[in-house]
Amino acid sequence: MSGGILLMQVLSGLSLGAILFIVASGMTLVFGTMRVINMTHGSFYMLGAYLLAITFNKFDQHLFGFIGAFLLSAAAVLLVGVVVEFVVLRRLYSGEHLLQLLATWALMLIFEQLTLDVWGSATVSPPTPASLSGAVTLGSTTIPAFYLFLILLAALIYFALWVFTNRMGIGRSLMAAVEDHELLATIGVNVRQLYTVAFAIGAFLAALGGALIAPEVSVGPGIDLSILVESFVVAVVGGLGNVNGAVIGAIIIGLAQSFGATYIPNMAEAAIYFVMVIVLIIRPRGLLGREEF
Amino acid sequence: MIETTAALTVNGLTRRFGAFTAVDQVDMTVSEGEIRAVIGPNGAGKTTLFNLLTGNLRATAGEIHLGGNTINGKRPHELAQHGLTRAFQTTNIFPSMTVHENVVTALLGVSRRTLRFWALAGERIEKRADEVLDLVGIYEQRNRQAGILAHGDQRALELAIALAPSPKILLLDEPTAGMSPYETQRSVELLRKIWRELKLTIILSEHDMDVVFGLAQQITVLVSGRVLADGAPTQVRSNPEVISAYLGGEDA
Repeated sequence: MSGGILLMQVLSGLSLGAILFIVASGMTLVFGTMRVINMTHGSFYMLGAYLLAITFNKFDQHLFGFIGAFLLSAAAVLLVGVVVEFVVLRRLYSGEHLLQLLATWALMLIFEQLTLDVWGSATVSPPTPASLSGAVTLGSTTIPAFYLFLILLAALIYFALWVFTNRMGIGRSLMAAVEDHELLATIGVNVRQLYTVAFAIGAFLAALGGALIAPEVSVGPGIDLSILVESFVVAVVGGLGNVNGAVIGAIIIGLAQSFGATYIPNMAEAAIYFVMVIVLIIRPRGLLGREEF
Repeated sequence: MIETTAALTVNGLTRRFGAFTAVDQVDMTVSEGEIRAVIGPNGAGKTTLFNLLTGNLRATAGEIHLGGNTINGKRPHELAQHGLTRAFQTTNIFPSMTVHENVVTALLGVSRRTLRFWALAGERIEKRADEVLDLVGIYEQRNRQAGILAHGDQRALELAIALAPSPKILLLDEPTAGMSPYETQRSVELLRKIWRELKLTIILSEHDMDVVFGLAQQITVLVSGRVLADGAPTQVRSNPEVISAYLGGEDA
C-alpha cells in the first residue's frame, strides 16, 4: 500500500474523529458534571445539521460566512438545550437516573418527530463551504481542505475547553461539581445555574458537530440515533466524564471507522464495537477513566 | 444582664416526612460567638435540624433567622453567601485537586467569582487559602492531592474549606465521627483554637460526650425531634429528664 493512500486514510479517520470528539466532549462534559446520560444529545446534533442547511444559504456567499452559519446553528440549539434543562431535567435531578434517561429518551422521540414534520423524510445536504471545497496537495496525495479544517477546528475546541476548565472560574466549578456537587453548594456556588451552563455547552457542542458534518453527509432521519451511539462509544472508550479521554476515544474510533471501511467493508459498522469491547475488557472504566472516589 | 446578639434564632421549626415528624416545634437561640452543641440519641432529629439550617431541606413550618434576616427557603449556596457554612458528617472534599486548590475553589465559590468569566485566583485569594491551611495545621501538605491525605488531615481540610469564606456561623455535623481517641483530642483542640482566633459561632452535633462537655457553652438536647432541655452544660447534666431520657442510657 502506498504511503499516499495511508496518509489519506489516516486524515480521513482523523477528520471523522474530529467530529466525534466535538460531539462526544459535550456528552462527556454533561455526564461528568451532572451524572446525566443525555439521550437527547443526538437530537441536538441532528438539529444543528438541519439548521445549517438553512443558515448556509444565507451566509456562504461571504468569505468565512460559513463560520457564521456553523456558529448560528449551534447557538440556536444551545437555546433549545437551555429550555430542555430548565423545563424538564431540572425537575429530575433528585430522582433516579432512570427517570433522567427516560425523559431525555422521550425528548429524543419528540425531536425526531418534529424534524420529520418540518423537513420531511427526504435528505438534505448543504454543499461544502465554497472557501473550503478545494484540496490541499501533500506530496503525492491530495487531501480535501475540509478535512484539515475539521481537524484544526477540533484542536481549537479542545484548547478552548482546556482553558475553560482550567483557567476560568466557572470551568473550575464545573470540574469541582464532577467531584462533589453538594460540597460545592455549601461553599456558595449556585449548582443549578452551573448545570444549566454545562447542559447548554453540551448542546452547543453536539449541534456544532452536526452542523460541521452536514456538508459531508446526507442529513436525514436517523442520524440522531447513530451519532448518539457513536459518541457514547467514544466517551466510554476514553472514559466517561473525561474530556482528554474523549480525544483519545475519538481518534481511535475515527481511525477504526476509516480503516474498517477500507479493509473490512462487510463489517465496517461493527469495527467500532470491536474496539470498544477490547478496550473495556482491558480497562473497564475506559482508557482514561478513573475509579470513583 | 448583658444583652448578647443572637447569631441564629429558630422559632417553631418543624419538618415532617409523611406522617413522621423528624423535627417538632424546635425553638433555639444561639448567641454570637457561642459554641452550641446539639445532642440527642440516634434518630432524635439532629441531622434533619442541620439540613434545615443549611437549606438542604425545606421546613414544613417555623422560621429561621440569621442575624436580622429570615432565611427560610434559601438554598445552600445563598446561605454560604450569608455567612453560614457547614462541614459534613462524611468527609467532603474535592479529592483529585490539591489541598490548596480545594480551598481556592471554596474562596472562589463564595466570592461569586465562579460565575464571572475570567476568575483566576488572585494573589489575595491564594494568600487567604494559605492562611486558612496554616490555621488548621495542614499548610505543609498544600501541594499534595487531597484524596491521598490521612483521614484526620482530610477532616482538617474539610474544616479549612468551610472556614475559607470567613463564615459567621459554622455548622459541624459530628466533627469527630469515625476518629480515634487521639484524633478526636486533636480536633477538639483545633476547634477550640479556631473558635478563639476567629471568634465565630459554632453549632455542632456530636455523640462523644467528652467532646460536647469539653467544647460547648450551651447545649440543646433533642429527643424525638423535640427540645428536651436547653442550657449550660452543668444545668443540662443535672437535669433529671435528660439523665433518664438520654445521658443515663450512656455508659457514663
